[in-house]
Amino acid sequence: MTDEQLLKSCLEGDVDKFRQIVDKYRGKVTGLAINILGNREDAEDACQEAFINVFQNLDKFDFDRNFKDWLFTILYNRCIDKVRKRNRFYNFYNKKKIEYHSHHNSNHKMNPESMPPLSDNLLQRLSPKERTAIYLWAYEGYTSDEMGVVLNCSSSTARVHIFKARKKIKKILENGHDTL
Amino acid sequence: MIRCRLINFLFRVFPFRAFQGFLIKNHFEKCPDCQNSLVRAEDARLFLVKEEKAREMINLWPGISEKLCEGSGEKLRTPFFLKWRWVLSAAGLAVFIFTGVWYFNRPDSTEMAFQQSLDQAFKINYIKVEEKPAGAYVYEPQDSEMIIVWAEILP
Repeated sequence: MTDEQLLKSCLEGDVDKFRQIVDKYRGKVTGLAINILGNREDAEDACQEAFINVFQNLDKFDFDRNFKDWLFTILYNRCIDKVRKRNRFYNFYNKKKIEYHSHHNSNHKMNPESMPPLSDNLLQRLSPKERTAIYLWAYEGYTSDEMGVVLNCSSSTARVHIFKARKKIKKILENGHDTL
Repeated sequence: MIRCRLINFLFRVFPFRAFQGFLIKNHFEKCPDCQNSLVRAEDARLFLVKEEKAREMINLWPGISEKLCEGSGEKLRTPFFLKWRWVLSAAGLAVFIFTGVWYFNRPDSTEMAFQQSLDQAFKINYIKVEEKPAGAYVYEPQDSEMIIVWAEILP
């Protein structure tokens, strides 16, 4: 069955067909989410929220559009929300930690455990937009026009994100991990 | 090379996305020297979590079905008009046909007025032919104000 047929069945209330959609796109969606968010738990949450969002808004889907682009757009927005929430949490946490230590006149420096759990993955050195762009370009073969739809920006801006990501990774490859 | 350096310089100095996009499209994507400073897709994939690995790591459906079934029952349900759309369509069509039939078969107002005037003006209580009771047949041709009365001696 094509995506369109599956989606129309979902619109008629067939949840099993929605399961087929989830199974079909599970790999692509989780791949993108893990590469943006860098950890399994957040990626799982983001993917589930994205699929639920898709199911609840199927009646608004324009069948002239590509379903995969629409799904990626929703997922990208969920991932960016998660990144922002996470950043807010770590900013707050670090601020409170510094306040606590200065209040107690301690020279104790923040230990690595208080820092966000950075993965060894070099993708952590790219911004979420650059990570999304490089994944869509390298794995999905997206052009800058298609990427602009997912990232909700112009194709020029998408082109800049891919360019910067490619350049950063190349530098890392040439000079080692500590260059950036 | 001088051209490449100049364009790299312009790229860094003017951080406008449209301008940078223009430089990328018209120079960096075409210049072989500049392409060497960018990672290739196959090398970039080494830094990414692969789709197959991601697929193994996460099983999405149990969580999705649970979330769909728990708090959002009304969201899960198909909208009323979609579920009953065939019934609603058939009912709408039936109403349309009924209205059409009624509209085209309703008595004309002038016809009704004529009928009313006839009811008031023409009345036969009893007919006799040759002093014997007779059967009467009243015939009103359409689109005419004529009334034909046919009387016949009953056997």
